[in-house]
Amino acid sequence: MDDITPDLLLEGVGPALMFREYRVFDEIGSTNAYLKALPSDEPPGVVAVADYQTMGRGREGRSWVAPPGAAIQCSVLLRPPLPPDRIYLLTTACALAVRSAIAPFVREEPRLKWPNDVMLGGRKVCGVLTETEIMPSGRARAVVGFGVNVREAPPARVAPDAGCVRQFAIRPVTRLEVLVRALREYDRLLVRLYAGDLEGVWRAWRSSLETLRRRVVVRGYGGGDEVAGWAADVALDGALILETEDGERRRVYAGEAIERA
Amino acid sequence: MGTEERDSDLRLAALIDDGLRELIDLVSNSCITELQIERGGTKLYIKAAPEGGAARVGAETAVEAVRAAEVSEAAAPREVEGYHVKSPIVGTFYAASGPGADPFVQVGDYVQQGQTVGIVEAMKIMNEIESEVAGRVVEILVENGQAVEYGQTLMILDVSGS
Repeated sequence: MDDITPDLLLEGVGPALMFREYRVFDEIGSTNAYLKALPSDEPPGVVAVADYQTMGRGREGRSWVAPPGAAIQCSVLLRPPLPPDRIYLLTTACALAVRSAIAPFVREEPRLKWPNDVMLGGRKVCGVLTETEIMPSGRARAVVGFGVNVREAPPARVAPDAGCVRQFAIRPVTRLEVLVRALREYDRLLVRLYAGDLEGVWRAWRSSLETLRRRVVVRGYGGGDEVAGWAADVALDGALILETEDGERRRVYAGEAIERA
Repeated sequence: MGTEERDSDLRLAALIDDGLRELIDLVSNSCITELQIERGGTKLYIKAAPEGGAARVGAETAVEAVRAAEVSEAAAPREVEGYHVKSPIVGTFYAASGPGADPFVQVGDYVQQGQTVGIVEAMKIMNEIESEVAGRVVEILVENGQAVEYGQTLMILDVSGS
């Protein structure tokens, strides 16, 4: 198992504008939950990394357990100067950063599945979950968490579509290398976002989406809503624009996009 | 972007050139709380934000929300007394932190300022909605899993007792 320590991260990531402190845990409930539980006046820039997550949190409270040393679990605490309907760009920037981080290790170009799953050879190797607290004034505190299956993927019975980077690697890959590259790139993209280049990051995201120009079904959660159509484009607010069979254009903001043959 | 989308964007761009900002300022600085203009295929909806500072961003977002293909009728304001907790974004409302979990709040509950009263999910972001005020929940206007619009009232709090 490769080691990840605060010193190695500090040295590897180098000077970062968005991250000021790395906290590494052997075992933790969830790195997102840890950051969310910090006092509300905690300055942003804390990065929490767990070697092993006993209780990872995904969408809708779905949980999964990564064996020690198999995956990276990392969350960052941010106070983005973004309006509520653009906070999603924190998540897409994170997916883009992970995508660039793993690209040098694999033959095939990693792509994103709308909105922000990182895919390799049709398998999901990274997911991003952002949790925010928005006050009615629009001010937000955000925790962006991502998990990358580097050495091992969850078993098929838990996640049938999951893969790991090592499975597609053309050279040896360590979790530290992937994490360092991801954080460096994420810092760079966050600086762009905070400086107001929302459209630039949106464009980069849009051109990385494998979901576009395909027939997809988007399954909603909770209500079981389902929308089928041609994934024509994405809007500036992140919505997937679907052209349905009746020629209607619908914007979808949540759900899982499944490709339909 | 498709032609329709681009045309709509152009029409909006023209509107902005034609003084949308002045309109927004007008709404922000007057007693008007909402303004809706419909011309051709473009609808413009401006709603004054409760705080002056947020008015402009709110208005821009509202323009986007109305451009969306699915304009929800539910966004229409309701005449109910009390403090309206509104959704800051377009998304899906969740009453609880996960399936099987207890709802954050129920009718009759007393809510503290800053307490999470629900989650609106969009773009795989779980937005915890915090109440800006303390009060008792008198009505919850949305169901678990329901799609909500920007500015839509999620629940109403009675703040008279605090």
